[in-house]
Amino acid sequence: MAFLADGLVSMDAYLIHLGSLIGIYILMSLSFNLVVGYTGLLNLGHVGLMGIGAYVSAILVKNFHLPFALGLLAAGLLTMCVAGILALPAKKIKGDYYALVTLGFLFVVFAVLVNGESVTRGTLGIPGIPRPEMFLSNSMYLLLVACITATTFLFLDRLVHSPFGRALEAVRDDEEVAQMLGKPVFKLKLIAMMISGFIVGMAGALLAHFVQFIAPNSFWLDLLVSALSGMMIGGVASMRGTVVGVVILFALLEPLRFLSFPSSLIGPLRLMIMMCLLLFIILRRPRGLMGRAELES
Amino acid sequence: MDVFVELVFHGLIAACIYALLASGLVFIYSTTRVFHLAHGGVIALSAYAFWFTTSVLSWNIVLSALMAIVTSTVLGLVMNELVYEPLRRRNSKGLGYLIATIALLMISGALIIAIFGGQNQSLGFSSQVHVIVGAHVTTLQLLLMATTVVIFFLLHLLSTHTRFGKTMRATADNEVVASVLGIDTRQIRRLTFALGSALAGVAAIFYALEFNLDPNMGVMMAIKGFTAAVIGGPGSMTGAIVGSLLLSGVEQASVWYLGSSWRNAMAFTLLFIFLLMKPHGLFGRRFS
Repeated sequence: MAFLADGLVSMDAYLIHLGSLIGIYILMSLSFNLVVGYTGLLNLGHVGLMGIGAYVSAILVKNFHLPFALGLLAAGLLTMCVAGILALPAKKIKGDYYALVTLGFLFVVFAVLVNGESVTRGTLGIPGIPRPEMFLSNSMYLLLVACITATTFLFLDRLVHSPFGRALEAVRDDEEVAQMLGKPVFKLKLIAMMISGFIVGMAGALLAHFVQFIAPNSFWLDLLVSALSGMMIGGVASMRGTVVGVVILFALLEPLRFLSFPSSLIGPLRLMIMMCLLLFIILRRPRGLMGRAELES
Repeated sequence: MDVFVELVFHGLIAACIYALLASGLVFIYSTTRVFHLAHGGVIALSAYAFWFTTSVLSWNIVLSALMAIVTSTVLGLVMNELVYEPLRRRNSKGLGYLIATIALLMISGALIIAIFGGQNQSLGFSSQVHVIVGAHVTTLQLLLMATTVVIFFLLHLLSTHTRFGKTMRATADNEVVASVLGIDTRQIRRLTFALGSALAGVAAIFYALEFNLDPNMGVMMAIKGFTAAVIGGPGSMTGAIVGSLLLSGVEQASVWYLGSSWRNAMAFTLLFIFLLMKPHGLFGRRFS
């Protein structure tokens, strides 16, 4: 949520701008919930995957002049592959140690983005990422984001209520039992991670072309805790809950912009409120508003 | 050759800072099974408290050092009482603690910006320079190395030769049995957090005297301490020392061969390789 809405004059323009951001955050949190809530893998590297998607599309479209649609697709596919690789340790490593491994992955992605200066421009970031001509205006872009988010939501909502989704939840609730019942546990984890990777890679690309500037800091712990908060508020293992959670998060944090605080204080204030909320939920209501599972059943 | 010796000393100094960081993390983890990443935030806040009292309020340096240790101890205790203990009462396992500690780490960073502002700060502290086998070392750096050695020695004595150490290990091994045997496990955890966080205060003082402070330093400290602890095996003090030396060695080697900007990247890569290949570290036991 580090992307400030500079230069937006009217309320309408601001809301349209906000709409696209909310859509992208929903995409990020839905794919997060598929892996964390339904499959029980706390993938703290999720925003690292998002960063990969964002950089892939930004570089392909800006430097190699590929069409936007191809950039988006390439971001999704490449991130999907990386997510598949990130799923491999889940074969041996479980629970909180898997969370640590994926946190380590996030650090590595960050370091590569900072140090791969010849490609990523390091901490300077990539400015002026072009938008496709059709979606130049914010309102057209909102339409695009809304379409993709709605399609993804419908797909994921059906997926988790299908036999495949129930198998995922069996893996989360008791891996040994799922194994004994003949479920291919690792394959299920792998597929869940890859689907999630494809979606979050696209979300990253959508974000890159929307805010038109990305830097390694855009995909760092601040974003991770936003994803965690969105999911935990709405509910672990609930797609509808996730949408509600992200909207609540924005509804709570955005009004801070209109308070007469010095602007340097607003960032820390947002983070503190969000984190206190996250702590409150973990302590008081670990399944969130509409959740059906706890992270560690 | 001279450059090489300088680099080795730089490596040792960094290793001492990492070892101080990791010792607190490992100390807390080995008793409470909480991977207290917010330890980095505690260090950052105490380092700022140290800077604020010396530079802005111009307190005596000893008084400021005490202030830093008090700050870190209080912060550690507050985090334990307000967050970790309630989580424990809910029978939370690793994941809940992990999310909570990340949240606390982020709060610390935000607090620093809110209280002390977003700029980098420096104490501008300098001490006498000595030349030892061709390398330039300051009195402060010698003091840092000595302090690290003493602290590890004391921690070792504490855990192996005192009653408190025994009850600590009993609490770590099996909380239920320990409490049946009449050990007040909650009190043990409280003391562990107090002592581990006091170590954070010591690390903060040396860090503030030696390096610049920036509001995001807590995250970096958490990652470095985390890396050293994971490489060594998060429950082992020997591991913390070896992990810190290895981490610092890899960092200096990447500065030497690849250039200074690759320092963090290689450190993270080392961490990732260890997490994948040897997740319980060099000296770690497998905990179920």
